[in-house]
Amino acid sequence: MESIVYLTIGVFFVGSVLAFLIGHFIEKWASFWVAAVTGLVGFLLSCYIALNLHEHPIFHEFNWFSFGSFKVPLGIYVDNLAILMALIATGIGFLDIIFSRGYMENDESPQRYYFEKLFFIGSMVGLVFVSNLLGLYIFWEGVGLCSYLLIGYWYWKKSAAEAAFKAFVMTRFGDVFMLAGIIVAWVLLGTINFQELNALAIAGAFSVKLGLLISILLFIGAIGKSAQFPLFPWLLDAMEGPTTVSALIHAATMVNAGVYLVARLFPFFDYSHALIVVAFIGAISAFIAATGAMAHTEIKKILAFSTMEHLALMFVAIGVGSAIAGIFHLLNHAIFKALLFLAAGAVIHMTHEKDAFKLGGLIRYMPQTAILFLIGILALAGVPPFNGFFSKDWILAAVYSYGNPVIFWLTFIAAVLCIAYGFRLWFVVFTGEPSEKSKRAREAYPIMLIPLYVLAALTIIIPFFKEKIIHFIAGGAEVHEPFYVDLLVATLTVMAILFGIVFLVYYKRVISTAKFLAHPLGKAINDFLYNGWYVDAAIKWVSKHIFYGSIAKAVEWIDIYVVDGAVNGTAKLSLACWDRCRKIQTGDLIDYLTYFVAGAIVLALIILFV
Amino acid sequence: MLLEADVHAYLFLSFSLLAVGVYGLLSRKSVIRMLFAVEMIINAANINFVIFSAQRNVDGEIFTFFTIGLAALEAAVGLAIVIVFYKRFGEVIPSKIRNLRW
Repeated sequence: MESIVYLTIGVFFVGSVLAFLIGHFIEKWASFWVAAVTGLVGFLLSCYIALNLHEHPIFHEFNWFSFGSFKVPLGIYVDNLAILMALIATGIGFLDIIFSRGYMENDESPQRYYFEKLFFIGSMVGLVFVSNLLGLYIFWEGVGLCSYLLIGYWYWKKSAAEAAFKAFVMTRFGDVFMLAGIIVAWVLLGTINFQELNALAIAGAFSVKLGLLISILLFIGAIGKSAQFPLFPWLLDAMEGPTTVSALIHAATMVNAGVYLVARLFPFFDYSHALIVVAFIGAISAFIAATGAMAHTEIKKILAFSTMEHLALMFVAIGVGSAIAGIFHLLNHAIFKALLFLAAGAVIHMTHEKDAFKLGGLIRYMPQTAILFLIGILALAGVPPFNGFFSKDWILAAVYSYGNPVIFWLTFIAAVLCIAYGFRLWFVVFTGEPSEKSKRAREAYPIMLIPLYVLAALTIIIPFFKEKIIHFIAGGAEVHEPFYVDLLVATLTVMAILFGIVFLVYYKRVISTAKFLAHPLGKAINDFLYNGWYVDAAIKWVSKHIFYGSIAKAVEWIDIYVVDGAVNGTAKLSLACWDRCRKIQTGDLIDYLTYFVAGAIVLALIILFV
Repeated sequence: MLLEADVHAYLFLSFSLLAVGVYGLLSRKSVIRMLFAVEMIINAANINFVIFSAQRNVDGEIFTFFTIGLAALEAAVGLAIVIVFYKRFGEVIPSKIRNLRW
């Protein structure tokens, strides 16, 4: 079985190179077929592993290299959690590759696109299969690199290049802390293997403070990757890339990595009392994201905010101790968010317009896309019987039973706001008076619709297999699912009220938002939410005034006056010595002879008398 | 065999010769005179060889012949250098030619 796991990781990297070479030298759209076959093979291999995975996880480790007694291990560890993540990455990745054939039809260099895409999926598969933190870090950076390349895919657009750079720097900021965490764990705990770290935590073999330090450092890396408060602004700017890339980043791969890391080290985080931090960060992020999505006007950015919110919900679920609920929500979110992003991609591709408020009435021109988008919205909002309802309700119940009012209310408000911003988006894009751009739109191609239908079907099928999936995630362990009728009724009631308000405002248009926006306070609130609570501006201010203005300046001073000063000082000193010593080199032979004789006499005296 | 006192006397002679040679080497301006002084220093060493070999075996005396031969060679090469030196700079006073420096 080990060889099949290695093959699954390898097939994507081989496929990516092959796609590029074939696309570059033979026929550029042949790269699509290579990518599709690679994606399908990768998915089937993952399925094969999943079906043959019994009670015992697949574990294989080898020495990567060693210096004397210091050994660097690398290997694979595949259990139910890992294979579920791999199935999400490869399955949705495959559908995304198929969809891209339609979305990227006018692209100049599909071989580059598919190379980066397969590399991205391969990195994610590697990330979930590796057995220790070092291997995870390698693929973690691989995912980061591919996100940089894909966000900046249209590199000639200045905004895209800048967004890619921002995503790279911001996630790297988190990664620095993560690397520090890995080093601390390796030096002080002596292991970086996930299972050994968890076993140490369960045995209580190290102090809670040390565990907390390592957990927080690792979690900062996860914050960066999963776009949580305060390192989320890159996720919104990342919308500059192709929409299919956004779907891949948001649904299948990159942002899930942070959740996976915390879920993987769940006993470690639990022992270290770090889960409360995870829950708080998640709750704050969920609230910021949900309110931000209410105010934004771009289709993709609203979806980006909602991704951030749902990831935050997963973190909250893990933080309150219900990791299974978090992972179940991750699966559901991956499916409906891929559906939403790809449907949004179809809309953007057919209308060439990103701003939702410049569209309208699209249901007449793109009826199938509209229905599929609606299914995505219903799943996102957590309306029964779609898959989002089951996991979201479970998370809310878990948070409710956890008993922290701050976390509960932030999470609750964020969770119910889904239906408001979801339907706001849908009403604005698909109903009302069609704009000029909407009138020119037509239904998406079949190759784009097929993946959408598959995903839409999954949102409805998943609830039927809920028990089996949860059992699979838990790996045979007993799962306790909290359930509160009053909470469920309250949630659904608030959702119904919010739907009613959104229906009146954005469908019937009996209440106008113009008056609210005209008022200075209303405008200020709107701007505040629209800009993601000005976190981006705050980060810029901090980087400019604190990092650049103070720390960087201080470091620069040290560099110029201490480091360079030492180097230049050495040169100056030797120059001064030379300047004085050269005076004895008169060029007169007699002088040299005199020195020689004087030296000989001194030597003779030393030998005689010392 | 030489007596202890005689050895001291001969050593004093060779030391004097060395001192005179060194003095000459340092005080004379002309290269030719300096070469003379070098010959005196070499001969001071030769006297030492001979004195000590007289107490033991003939090794030092054999060595002295080589030294004399070498001194002759040195004089030949040295004088050739002096001629080139003169042709190049027009004089044989090293103090006036200060090329051997930075």
